[in-house]
Amino acid sequence: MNILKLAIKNIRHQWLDSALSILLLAFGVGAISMLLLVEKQTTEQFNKNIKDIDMVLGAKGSPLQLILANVYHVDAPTGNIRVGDAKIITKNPTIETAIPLAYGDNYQQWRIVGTDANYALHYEMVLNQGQAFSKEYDATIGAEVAQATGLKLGDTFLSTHGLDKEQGDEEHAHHHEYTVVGIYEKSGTVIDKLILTPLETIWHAHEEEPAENVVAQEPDTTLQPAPIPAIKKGPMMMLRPAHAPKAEPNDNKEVTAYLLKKRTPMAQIILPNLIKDSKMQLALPAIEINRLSQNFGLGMDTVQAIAIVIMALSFVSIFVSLYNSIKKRKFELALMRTMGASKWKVVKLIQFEGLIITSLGILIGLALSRVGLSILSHQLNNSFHYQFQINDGSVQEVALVVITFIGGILACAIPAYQAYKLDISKTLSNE
Amino acid sequence: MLKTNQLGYQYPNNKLLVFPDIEILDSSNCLILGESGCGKTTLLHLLAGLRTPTQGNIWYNDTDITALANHQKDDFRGKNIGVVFQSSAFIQSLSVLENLMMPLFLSHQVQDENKALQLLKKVNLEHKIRKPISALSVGEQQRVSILRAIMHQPKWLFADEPTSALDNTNATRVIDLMIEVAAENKSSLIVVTHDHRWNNAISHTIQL
Repeated sequence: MNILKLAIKNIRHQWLDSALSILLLAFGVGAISMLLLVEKQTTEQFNKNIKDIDMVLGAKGSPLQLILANVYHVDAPTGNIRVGDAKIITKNPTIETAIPLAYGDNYQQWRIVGTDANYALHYEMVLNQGQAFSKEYDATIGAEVAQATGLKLGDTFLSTHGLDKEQGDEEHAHHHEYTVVGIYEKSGTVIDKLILTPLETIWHAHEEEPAENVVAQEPDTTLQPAPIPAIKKGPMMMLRPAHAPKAEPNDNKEVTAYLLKKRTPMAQIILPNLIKDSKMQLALPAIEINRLSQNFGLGMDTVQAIAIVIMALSFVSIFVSLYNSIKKRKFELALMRTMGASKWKVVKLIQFEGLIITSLGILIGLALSRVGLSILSHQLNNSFHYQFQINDGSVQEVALVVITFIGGILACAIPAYQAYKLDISKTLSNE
Repeated sequence: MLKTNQLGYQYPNNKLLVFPDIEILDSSNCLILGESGCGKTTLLHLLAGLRTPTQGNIWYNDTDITALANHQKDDFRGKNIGVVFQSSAFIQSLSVLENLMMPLFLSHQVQDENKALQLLKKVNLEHKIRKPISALSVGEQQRVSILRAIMHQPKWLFADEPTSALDNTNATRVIDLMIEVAAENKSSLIVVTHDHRWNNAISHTIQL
């Protein structure tokens, strides 16, 4: 017999009270720890993917949607823009790089993105096998795509029209095969979930489409310089490009968006004015994501508040059940004192009982949060190819454990004090 | 030798109770008799170090327990004193064996399970050694509580009305058992009671 064993026996003896306390604590800890992990991982992911993308140029619509679709690849694009029209921005001296992105197809629901070499360079992608795409219908695929589809170097596959449709929809399948020329190493960025191919592949594939799938082309605008929007005289005048960008053969082609990196902070102020009257818009990822996380954060705050209330309730429950159990076991404690136990030994017993319940609550809670996260991850993976890391932890989680322990110790402080000041003689003679 | 001197206890209602001086030799038994309410239990608690007297001294050989610090008194109690209560009190979450181990654990002695088995054999309860304490009848519980009081081989074995709730048959068994284990253990048995069935068993009586 020892104090720990005795504490465990006592907890088991009052298993109903103990189970309630443990369950409440587990749910409180579980909910908070899951929130912490979700918040940490989404922030990490968001920041990693936003990496140096100052602006996104795309078709008018919801700016948030534009960001979500083109930076995070979780929403439908807002539409397409003409390469020629975009030149006013992409060739602007205030812009350092403009990475084109063109969508339209998928393979087994993994998005195929037409782009140039800068996209992979931007995310500092490292090739695991093969090489980067160099010609039409070459495909360089992300690590998660490779893992999920089983595509290997040299494999060929047929794309399906649309972004998220099920494969096998024969009518919309394209008939030109892609060849896997490279597989990237896992990077933790969106490219893990993408199939990259040259822009020309997308253009080519969609030219073969029936007319309804391609935005009507106006033959007379081919090789015409993009129009320069009229800018009223004033300070903005000087920021207007000196020359209209030179016309190029691809001006009539379409892309979904450009990811822009600015050369000067001025870009943010000047550029929106240049496209005010066009069908294009510029969205700032930092601002949109901030807005999103504020709204998202509001929901998180509510869940967090509920979780804190559950935890507080669990401490009350630990307190009440220990308090009642001391009242019931007063005679037992007096008996232990009669047999030579010191005051501190009975205090230790009560503290052990409280701490065992707290520890079990924490352990089960942390396990629950992982289970919850894996369920959430599974669901997100099905709909967005978005995953959470289960075997992750955070500093806040360590703090949560420490705070919960302190809460547990405080919850048994009063019952322990009662045990400490127990009058053996009065208790034994039922005074 | 147990010896008291001018022992008195003042109740919260200011009533001061002064007990006659007591002298009990090692290994000799003693009966403290008195009607209900005359302070028998208080005297037993004072003697066993469970309550602190308002005045006077209690000497166990050379040790005055009224002068001991709290933790010293706890240690003294754990090593030298065993108590049998009127209603048998146990730690409900523990088995018969585990309850018998408690006095050894709390007085930091070797927890000898074989000793518990030998004692249980004496009262024909060895088959209940692993049973939860609640599985025992009242009579069985009383016998186990006597065994528990001598597990750690105390020099002084106190009993507070150990038979008042028992019928004649059970009372006789308990009296015989207590006399027997005290003798085997060379303990002094001090019984506080108003039950006259004890009179034949112990000749040395103190009337309160």
